[in-house]
Amino acid sequence: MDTSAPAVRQDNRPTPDEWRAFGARLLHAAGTGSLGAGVIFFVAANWQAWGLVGRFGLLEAGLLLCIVAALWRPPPARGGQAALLLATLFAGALLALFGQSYQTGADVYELFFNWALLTLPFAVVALSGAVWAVWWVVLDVGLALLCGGLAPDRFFWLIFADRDRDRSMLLMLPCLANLFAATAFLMIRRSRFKEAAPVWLAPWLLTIGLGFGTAAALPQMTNHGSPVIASYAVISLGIAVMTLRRRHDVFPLTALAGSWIAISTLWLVQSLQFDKLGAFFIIAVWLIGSSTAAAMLLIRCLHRWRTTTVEGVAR
Amino acid sequence: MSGITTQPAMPERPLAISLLLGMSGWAAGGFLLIFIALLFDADSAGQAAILGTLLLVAAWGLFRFDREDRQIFVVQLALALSIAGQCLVLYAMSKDADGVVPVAFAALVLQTVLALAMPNRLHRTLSTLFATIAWALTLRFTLFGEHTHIYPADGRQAASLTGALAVWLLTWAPVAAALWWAIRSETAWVVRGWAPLLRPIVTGLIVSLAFATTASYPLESIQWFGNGKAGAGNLALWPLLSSLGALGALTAAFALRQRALMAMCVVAALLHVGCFYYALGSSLLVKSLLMLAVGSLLIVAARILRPRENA
Repeated sequence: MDTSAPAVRQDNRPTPDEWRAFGARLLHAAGTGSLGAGVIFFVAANWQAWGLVGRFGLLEAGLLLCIVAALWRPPPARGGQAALLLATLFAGALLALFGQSYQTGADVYELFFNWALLTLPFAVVALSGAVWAVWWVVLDVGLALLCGGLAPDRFFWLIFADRDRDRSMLLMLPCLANLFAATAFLMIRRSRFKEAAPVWLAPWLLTIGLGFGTAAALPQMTNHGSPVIASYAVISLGIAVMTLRRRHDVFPLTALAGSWIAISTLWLVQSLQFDKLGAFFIIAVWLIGSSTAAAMLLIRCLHRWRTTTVEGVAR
Repeated sequence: MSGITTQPAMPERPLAISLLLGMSGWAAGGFLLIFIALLFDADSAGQAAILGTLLLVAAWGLFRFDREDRQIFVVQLALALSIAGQCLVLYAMSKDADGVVPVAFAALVLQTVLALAMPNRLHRTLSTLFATIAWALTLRFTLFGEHTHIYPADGRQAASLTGALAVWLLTWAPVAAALWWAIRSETAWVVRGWAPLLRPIVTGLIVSLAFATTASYPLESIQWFGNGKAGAGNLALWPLLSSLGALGALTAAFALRQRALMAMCVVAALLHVGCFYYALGSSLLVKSLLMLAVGSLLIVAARILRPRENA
């Protein structure tokens, strides 16, 4: 028998028992999905027929049922967490129906902020990364709409009129909010509430935060190129230093590399302005060089950190 | 020893770095292609064929350079060059063609050749997917013509439901049969050293069965804008057939123990159910009752089938 290398059999197929279990799970999941779709289709089919009272009643009943279910099976039980997730979605639907039925003149981003505010207790109590992820999506959509939707004559700008702020500076607000949240969830992960901070949540928030920061630093976004880029650079440096000190995960450095490659490429595109054929070639070469160099450095860091970890374990 | 292979080495590169390199490769490829297109300015079919072939050869060369499939940037750049080359070659093959059928057939031939020739897993998978779509379009427009709807909403002369179903089966049964054969005989073709060729093609067939069945939809079965007519026939049937295809693909992915593929098939099934919501041919109320009935039956079947120790 060849023991020189780890081996698997080619006929690594499921056994009859595994097939039976798979079949049962597949039928159950398909059945549940079909029932759920049937309920949604039924509600949609009759939506116009129900009056305002009926529609509000349906959504409020759904919200109430979810809250009752969460009280019956309180988190960290899965049932309670799923109920609070659904309650978060029902709350959003209720606010949307309210905004649609009563023309209050509120902006869409106000809907999302109210939604986030009302469902914050759900997110805190659920102790679930999934509920926090949905909550942050709601808040980030509101922040994105705020940054993109404020007309120059809005009251908001009066606050900053004499300080000559613009949209790119406003984009730093969601950038910082998401980065602080990522840091907070990293700390929560080390506490007894770590179930509320799954491994994927902090990197996900970091990515969104850096996405907002990248958007803030792009050309055509700001009249204050230097201060905005400088502040984003300082933030990036801080993240890089923290990551290099922890020597744990290269993901933050990878995200930073992607962000700055995008920023530098778009600034290059703007400055070259494509009036010469060679501009395309220069940009292609810049992309090739910068991404290759970044990947080589990242992989070197990764190997060095893994080697250090293995040696530490061996000792 | 026959039937034994070495386990693949643990991946060293995190997904995030692969994504960074992949996206950069595509972006660099896009700018490079614009540069090449402006530099050579191919107008005629002949020029397009030559330029397209050169790009495909360049892509082949890059793939051969990175046989181990470890240089993600090289791979993605090669993919970008290959796709541009395919577009040019397809343009050259079908420039003077009349209608969809010659173009679809040309695409089928091209993608089949590339699936066999290109020494890269991802490329073979994508070529298999595109070849399957081209196969579906070729059959559909050949048998039903290009100005005839498969099952029109306004009662125009067209294929019957039986005919449309027959063509759907004629299109996708061979794909399912090929997949079944490949999975059943995997041991044999691995021993013969065909794994680098056939494994990506099997993946492509699974993805095709999950997603590409939409290529067989009647064009008027989905109406995104305006109000559609309910009761216009059995147009709502097609998304359900696609869901069935996705579940079949899910079963194949389970047989191969490929979790990522299984997740993809689940997403496909959900998308098809979403298409069913918008499909014409039945009222929403009828669809809801159908889903409730089917769901109940499936759950009963699940209870009957579940392993005895869980009963």
